[in-house]
Amino acid sequence: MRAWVFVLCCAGLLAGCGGAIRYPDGGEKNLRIRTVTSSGSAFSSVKAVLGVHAVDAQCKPTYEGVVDLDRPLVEVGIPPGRLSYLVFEFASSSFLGGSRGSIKRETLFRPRAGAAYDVQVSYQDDIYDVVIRDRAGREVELQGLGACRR
Amino acid sequence: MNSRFAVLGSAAALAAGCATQMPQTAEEFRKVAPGAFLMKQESFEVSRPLRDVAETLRRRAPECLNMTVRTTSRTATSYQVINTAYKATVVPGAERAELHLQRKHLTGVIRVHQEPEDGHYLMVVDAHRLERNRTRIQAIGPSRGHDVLWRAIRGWAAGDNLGCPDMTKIG
Repeated sequence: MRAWVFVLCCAGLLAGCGGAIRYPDGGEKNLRIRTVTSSGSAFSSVKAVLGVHAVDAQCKPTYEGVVDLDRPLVEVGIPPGRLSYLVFEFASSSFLGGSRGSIKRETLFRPRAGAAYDVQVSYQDDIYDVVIRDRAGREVELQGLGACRR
Repeated sequence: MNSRFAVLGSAAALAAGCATQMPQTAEEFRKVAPGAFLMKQESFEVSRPLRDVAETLRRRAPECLNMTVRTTSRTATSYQVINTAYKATVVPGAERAELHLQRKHLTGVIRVHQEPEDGHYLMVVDAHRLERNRTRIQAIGPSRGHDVLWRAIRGWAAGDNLGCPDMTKIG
């Protein structure tokens, strides 16, 4: 019995400490994210994630959660009309040297109500890119948090 | 980033200065760096007009290169943290557009030369207008440990890959 309690406690701890907060993602899926990642080496890997922050009237971001971009197509709902801050992060690690690194591409984003967007996320051979387009194919300019006050 | 490349990069910067004085301007860098140890010069042409190449550099260089990178290296006996700031400057012109990339080690590296305020020159790229909507690129920069940076510059110049180089992967 005690062994089972111990196992259940460990499982609970692991589940609770399993990493970052998941983005709730309850709304209409207005962001279609296509992701391609390749580290270019058999001895290293790269993982892409999207961090979502709400941005208030004082331009203060509040972290809402993370979405793993671990499939070729991931759909996410970002509240329309509200200013959000999207952080695309590429985390790379090397199996041999034990080195790790991460790099981010960030942008403020306010989806229009009823609109949908296509996002191309890529990290290939140490070159990364994030391109957001509306369904008419117009590219949405990526803007850092500093643009919030302009 | 690999600490070996940090050492190489610093050595290249030192070599570019020829152990006398580090280049304080892009023009000094153009004169001194091509023949220096661990530095190289590349020249190639692209089938794009200068204004398009310049526009790509203007858009991509600041957003991809202006950043501070924190790297750590650990051995059995040491632990080192290096904070490095990169600063890209694009100088447009009718006949030539320039990209200057400077690097400043904020912590973890001892400076033995007087550096420009934004750091030593790491790379200088000149795009020259040619006839028939072609542009010649002449770039000077480190010969080792900066492959991703060179590939990004080639992609921006040719317009076929506008991605950003992962600056954590360079020396």
